[in-house]
Amino acid sequence: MKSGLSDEMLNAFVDQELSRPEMGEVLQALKDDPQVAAEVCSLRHTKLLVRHAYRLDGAPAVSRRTGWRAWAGRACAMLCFLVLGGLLGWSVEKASAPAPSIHFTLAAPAYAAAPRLVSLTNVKPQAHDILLHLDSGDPRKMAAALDYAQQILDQARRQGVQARIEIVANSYGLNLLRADRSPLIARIAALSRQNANLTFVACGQSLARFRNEGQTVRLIPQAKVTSSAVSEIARRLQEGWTYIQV
Amino acid sequence: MATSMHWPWLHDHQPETLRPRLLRLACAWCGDRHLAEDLTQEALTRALRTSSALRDPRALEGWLMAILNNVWRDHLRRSKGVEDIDDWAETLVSDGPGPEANIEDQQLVDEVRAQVAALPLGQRQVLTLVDLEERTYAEVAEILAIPVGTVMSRLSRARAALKEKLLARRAAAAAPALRRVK
Repeated sequence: MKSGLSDEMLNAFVDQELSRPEMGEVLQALKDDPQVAAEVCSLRHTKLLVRHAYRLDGAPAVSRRTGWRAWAGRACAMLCFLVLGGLLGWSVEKASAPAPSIHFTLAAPAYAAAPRLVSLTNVKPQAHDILLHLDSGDPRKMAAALDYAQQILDQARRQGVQARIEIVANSYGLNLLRADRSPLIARIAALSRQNANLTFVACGQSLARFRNEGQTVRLIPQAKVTSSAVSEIARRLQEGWTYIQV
Repeated sequence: MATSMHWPWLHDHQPETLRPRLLRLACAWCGDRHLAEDLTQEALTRALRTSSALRDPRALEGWLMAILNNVWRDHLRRSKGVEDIDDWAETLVSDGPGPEANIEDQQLVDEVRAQVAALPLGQRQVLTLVDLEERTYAEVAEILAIPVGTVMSRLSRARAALKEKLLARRAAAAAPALRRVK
């Protein structure tokens, strides 16, 4: 592995055994090296499988209807997000309220709770930079991602500041950026035309996974591809961006 | 009952979960339900005979797991006639049948348990203490009386082996499920 991190250290990351400086080192590696991100994902997955196989209550982890294959499939799809959850759990612990100099409020759709803002405190905040993370193929969430972006951009403009927004899509969230599947192509095109500072980023690992399954995936022209969503998010957090999960 | 005098925690502190948790550990270690019950019983009996000033429930649990480990090692010494357990903690694999499993998603559970059972004993113990009992590396080191470095290297090798065995196959098995979802 390029990072030179030992397997022991990555395991310790998954088990939340690392000190903060070590955690920072892994965070950096997650940002720089997609191989590290993939390895952490698999270790985390392995841990979940073991825990699942020895559940004490004997209760099924999934309903009879879906079965373990579906569970395994979902687990795969959620993996990177779970890893990210650990990452952000750590971040939130260290974070004070983000101090954006844009004051914005987000009107959450009726079905969803108000989104939570996350940023790191050990880095210089970039008050105008916001990352929206979409990992669901739910059309309502896809629309919400664009709604949030639009709300922030509008409010920032009224306050006379320029916000930078990046929408990062992985797993089934990738559908938003697929030329063959996205229900919102026209709206994305319009938003992009009006806002040069709005970017769309697709997770390279999700892309590769869908392609490995034999799907032909074409992305919309606005989408840039990054090595993985996790590393992109880790990188942006370290650059001082504020993270919002859609 | 004597337990309630000296061991109020057996009654007050998660009485329903402590014993099953020890049993689960024993099962994962020895791969035999009946033997696991004996080991658990023996560990609890030994614990009752010993006085301990531990108050912190987590420390008490760790202490009980250490006793279970001793009981298990004693059993191995007797049954295998082997003295140097540390030596073959690295190599011994279970020769018993896999733990019983009457859980819904049998196939996955069976596969994972079979792979855990196939790990060398030392790795199996570390893995189950970390993943099932959520013990810290330091606690595992104390329970098994081994250095933290050994805990980390065994865990790392255990996960690498499981990852190899479980995830490669799983990825292939999951592909149809991924296509179905949408």
